[in-house]
Amino acid sequence: MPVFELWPVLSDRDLEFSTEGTIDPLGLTIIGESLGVKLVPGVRERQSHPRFLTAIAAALEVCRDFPAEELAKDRVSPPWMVFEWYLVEGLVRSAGSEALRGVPGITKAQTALRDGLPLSASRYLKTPSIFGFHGVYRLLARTLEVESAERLGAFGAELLEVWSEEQGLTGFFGSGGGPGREWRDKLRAAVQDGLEAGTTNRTGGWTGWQFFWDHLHPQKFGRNERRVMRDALLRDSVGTRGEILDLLVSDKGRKRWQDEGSERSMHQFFMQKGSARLVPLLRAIDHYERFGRTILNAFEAIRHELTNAGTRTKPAALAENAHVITAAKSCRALFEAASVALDPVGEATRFQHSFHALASTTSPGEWVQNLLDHHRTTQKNKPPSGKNAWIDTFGDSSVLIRPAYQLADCEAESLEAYVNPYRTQALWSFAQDLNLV
Amino acid sequence: MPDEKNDCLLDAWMPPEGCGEPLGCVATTFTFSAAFFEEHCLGRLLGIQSDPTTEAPAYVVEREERLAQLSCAAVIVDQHFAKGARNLRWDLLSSRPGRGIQHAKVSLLAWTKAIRVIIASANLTPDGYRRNHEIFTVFDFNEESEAPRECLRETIDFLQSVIADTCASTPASARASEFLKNLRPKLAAWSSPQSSKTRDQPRATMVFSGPGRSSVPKQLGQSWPAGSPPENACVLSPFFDPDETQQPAIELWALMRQRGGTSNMEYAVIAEEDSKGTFLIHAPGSLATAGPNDRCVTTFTQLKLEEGRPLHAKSIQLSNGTSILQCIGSSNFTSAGLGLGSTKNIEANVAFVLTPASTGVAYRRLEAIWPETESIPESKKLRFEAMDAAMEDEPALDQVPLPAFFVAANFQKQPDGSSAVEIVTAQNPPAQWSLALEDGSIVATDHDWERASRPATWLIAWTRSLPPSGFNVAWGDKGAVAWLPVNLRSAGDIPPPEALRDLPLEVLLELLTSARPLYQVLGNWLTRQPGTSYGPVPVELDPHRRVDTSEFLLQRTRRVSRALAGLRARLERPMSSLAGLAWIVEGPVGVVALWRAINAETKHNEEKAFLLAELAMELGRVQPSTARGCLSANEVRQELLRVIGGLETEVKPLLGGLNKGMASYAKVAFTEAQR
Repeated sequence: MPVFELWPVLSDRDLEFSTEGTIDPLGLTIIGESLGVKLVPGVRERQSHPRFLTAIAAALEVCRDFPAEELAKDRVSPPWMVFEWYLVEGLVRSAGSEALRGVPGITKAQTALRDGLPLSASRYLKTPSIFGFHGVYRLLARTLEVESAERLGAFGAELLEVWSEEQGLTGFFGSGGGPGREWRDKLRAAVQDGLEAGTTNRTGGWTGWQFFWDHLHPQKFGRNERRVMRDALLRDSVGTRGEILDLLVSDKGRKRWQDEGSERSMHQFFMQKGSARLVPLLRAIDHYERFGRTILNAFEAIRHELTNAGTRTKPAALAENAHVITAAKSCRALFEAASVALDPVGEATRFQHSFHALASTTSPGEWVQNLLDHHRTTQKNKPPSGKNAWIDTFGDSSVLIRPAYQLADCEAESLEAYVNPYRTQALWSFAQDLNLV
Repeated sequence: MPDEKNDCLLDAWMPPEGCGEPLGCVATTFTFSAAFFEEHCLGRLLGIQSDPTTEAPAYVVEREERLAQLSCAAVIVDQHFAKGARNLRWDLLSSRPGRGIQHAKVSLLAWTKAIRVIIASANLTPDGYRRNHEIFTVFDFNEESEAPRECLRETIDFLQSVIADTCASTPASARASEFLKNLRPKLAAWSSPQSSKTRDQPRATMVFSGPGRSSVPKQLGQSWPAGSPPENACVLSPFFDPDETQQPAIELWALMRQRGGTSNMEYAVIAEEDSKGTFLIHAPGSLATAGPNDRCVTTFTQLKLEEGRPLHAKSIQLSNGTSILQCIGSSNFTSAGLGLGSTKNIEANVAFVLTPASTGVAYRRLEAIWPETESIPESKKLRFEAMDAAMEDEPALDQVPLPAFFVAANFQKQPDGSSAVEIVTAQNPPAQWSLALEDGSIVATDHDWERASRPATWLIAWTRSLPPSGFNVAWGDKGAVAWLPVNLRSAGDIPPPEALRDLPLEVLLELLTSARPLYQVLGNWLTRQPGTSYGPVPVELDPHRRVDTSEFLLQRTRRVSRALAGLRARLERPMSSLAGLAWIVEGPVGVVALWRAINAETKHNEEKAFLLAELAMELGRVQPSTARGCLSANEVRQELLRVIGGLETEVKPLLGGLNKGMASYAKVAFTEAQR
């Protein structure tokens, strides 16, 4: 029950409402991401080292006996997160001058170590369940069945068995004894103490720190472990991950990627060789990206124009920009072609619903207004409660770019360049770790 | 305010402790969201417990039931924004001032034992109430509160004048006026408060502006304590005049010290540093040069606002070493907002004043009610680009007001039970007009009106199941469209929601005999109904329950008796309005509904006569209770006698065909009931 007194009050925010939305001003990511998921199930752009799957399997085994609801003293960190702190801190402690790449949270661990403080929720990543290695690789772990219902999955068990044997850690997995069993107990005790302390809870002399470097280094696969991992990645009954990985590591594929580094070029190559399942997906990506690049280039050109103008500008003045004219003239045909290509992969309806207004005119004056409206709507519809537009519109219909979104230099990307990434970089990194290239 | 308190505006719509039953509200706003107001503001005022998203049926029933208990719920909205689909149990009054706009944001909420006034910068929209940086104040009045009664009297006067001067004369506006008028005796009956801590609290003065009223600066000058003039002024406003003259700044400077030391005017503004290190100031540069002489110094400070929360608060703070005045409310720092010049908006503000007699604690507290700011280094270049008031606080260019020809639309029940919408018109019809529903379907056109001989009051028969919230009025050949809200002629004219009409006798008996709140029981029942969107019918697994005993005479008679007792209990609660009484008598779970269901479902005249006589007897036994601001016992009794008379008329023709004992019982019962 509220109590009010005879004073004025400045209002508080009632719910989480919109903040700045600094990426994807035209809403091109959603369909791009969906196409990427269909193309390479389980793999995300942020992933680079598949050996983190082994670390996830090891964490599941170490933490298997903790109750499902167990949390650390901080009331937010589950046992697997405490294991993750130990692993990342262990890699940093053992790395010395050796560089570590592609380890999520490495900078946080380095800072904590420099300050002489143990790693904890407050000193680790802001959203560790998404940006820590468990978060980054969780989808792939589930797709490959490393993890299943928060327990070790079928492939996880196979992987751990091969790994423990190869690492001389018999007993780490399962109920048998051996040096692995001792390590597992040691790590479990460390996690237990970490849960109670709400931080990693071992001194610098603990031998466990080196364990992570010796046995779970993200780039140092054992031979057999590498083989089972490669086989698992090549198995893909749902999408085309295996087919793409095969084509990527083929002689021609490898050369093409190293020479050109362009996903469109790679996709053209895959299209020549690809299966009946792969080709329609690649065709859909091709048309969707042509449409997306065209409107994004026009939007960037508008930002640049408004930055140079430095004051309120009428949309009519923006209609004279060459990119805007190109986009206005070509957008309808690109929209129609993309609609047809996206239909077989189930994305046509969403595409048409999102972008139809941009195909309704070829007049640059009207088109630029539609594009600005589309941007505003896209920002407004972003979860949870909408984001601010980058470009303010005034009552007389003039527009002004907000300082944070000014674009002083604008070198337009080629109309061939993709807007969205489609995992080739991630798969290439996988292939390197797996000695496939 | 205590530190741990969260100052959300919607909390101001929550009932204060010990306030009694809700009686109603009248609120004003410029922009408006009908859905937000209905669900969040009215929902809190009424104390609605069910959740519209997860308990839709229960919410609908509870909302209907509770809204029916209010004597008035009305929102006065500037004509450009007076629109939106809504429940007709609350009124939407379009404010159509001759010049300027209705920009005040005042909410007056009344309960049987308390009245609350909210003066705010926030419109009744989700952005205003949940997102923007706004400023507001709440005055709670009751028998003992120390809130200044004069502020309440002036607020009532102000609201009544807004209704009288800018809203069409309709049954809905009359309801709002009557509601406000009835608050005065309540206020007069409260004893004068004895303030215990005047030195710790500011003196509050209402600052209403608009046509026929003094300007805000003039009123602030009158509220400023005698003695030295202000030396410092701080202005917080999202919008300013776009022109070079800056009359608001000139007027404010005129209030300030003109001789002796310097005077300072600080504008707390939105400022953004661009990539070249220049500060973009969202205010016109002409403010900087509006001071009358060199001793008048103007500075701009950068507001440190929370990310994603636009500024919409408006405030002027005047001070010198010993006194401080802070004015908050709806007035932007524009000529129209401050009541300067020929176009004056209708605005509502409050000035809080601390004098040399006030304590230092109070002084510091009032001074602190200001958003955090940061000074802009003098070395920085400034570029001025004011936000256009048209963005939020003025109608957009494409918003045209409804032609004066369309005065009002009233939904009403006809004597024959059918429904109609009454369109009240004035002189000078526009060319080629039409009235359409939100789905675009045309309801009437100028040709229809011509064929009906151009009536000043035109009745359009309404055969659709739902009454309309309003009409999109289109006219001329330029695509002009504006909204004409529909209000009820009287509270009893609205049909209950379709799902609640003609409930079967068994359901009524279940509802009236349950100890749980009506909305819960009815909501659950609706959820079980096939063919509704509320959910599936659960299969009864208990074999004993699967035997339908609903038509077993003895069981039914027992259930009816229990139901009648439940009905009597509802009628014995204090009734805040005739509409509330009408809901219990004629609503979907009321006396008449039970009467109709008995008529429809009893197969023998003996049973029918017996049950209707029992119903009459129960109504006769009702002992109405009352409270201040509620209907008198006599008013309730008169209504019940009317119903008893109707029941007797229904039963009389049956008496001749009944067995002697039953006929005699019925006669005695009606005599008893009317005693």
